[in-house]
Amino acid sequence: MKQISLRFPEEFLEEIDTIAKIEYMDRTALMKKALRKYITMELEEGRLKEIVVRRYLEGKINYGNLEILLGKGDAQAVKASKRIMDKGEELAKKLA
Amino acid sequence: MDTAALISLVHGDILDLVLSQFKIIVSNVIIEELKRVMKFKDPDGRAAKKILSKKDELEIQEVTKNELDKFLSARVDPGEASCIVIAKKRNVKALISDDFKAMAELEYYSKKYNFKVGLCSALIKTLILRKKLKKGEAIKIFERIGNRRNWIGRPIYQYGKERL
Repeated sequence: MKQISLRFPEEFLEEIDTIAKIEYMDRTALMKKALRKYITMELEEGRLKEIVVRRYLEGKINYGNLEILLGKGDAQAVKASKRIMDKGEELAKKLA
Repeated sequence: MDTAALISLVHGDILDLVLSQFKIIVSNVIIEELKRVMKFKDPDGRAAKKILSKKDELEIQEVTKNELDKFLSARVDPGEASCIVIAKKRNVKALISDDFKAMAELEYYSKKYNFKVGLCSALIKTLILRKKLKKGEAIKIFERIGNRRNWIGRPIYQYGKERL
């Protein structure tokens, strides 16, 4: 596991610690649980997925990131859709 | 052409123009899918109803269950599978689909059986080249289609619009 350092306002940290105490968890476990819940919920709603696709199309994230966030099947679908959109001009010339 | 692509054309308000400019082949499976979609009281349902009202302007090719079974997968539904069967059989100029989730497999089969695959956006670009649409109109059509699509389709159409 990798260690990271985060900065929170003191009041927010107090809130986190109080909830962690009630839930019989440590601070790290609570934050992991909260982040996992956020990622799952946002991915299910599609909002985060759409942002991920936009960032990939803008070249801001690579295919590896896309696959981590969407899973292999959806990542391949996005990559193929982009390729087919890119080839649209060539196809249009043939159809014209 | 698959169900999603036909519905995109209605959302883009260019079904009539496309039908007047291209010979569109659909399968009996697509017609059945449209009949099911038509039951929904939403924009897709209304779009399906409109497409079915133009059924006489489409060429309907019969595809049997046996023919489409081998192309079915978790991402390729009977509608798209029937499009692959037709593209393979009929020497079509292109298989047009807007079902983004199936795109990787459609691309795979297009290479395997040597046919072209495209999104509705390719037809819109063709209409610009044929001078049937102006670029400004095409941009609005991309926006209308994108707004009705899912989390893959929306950004893909946005991406396509920026490159028109």
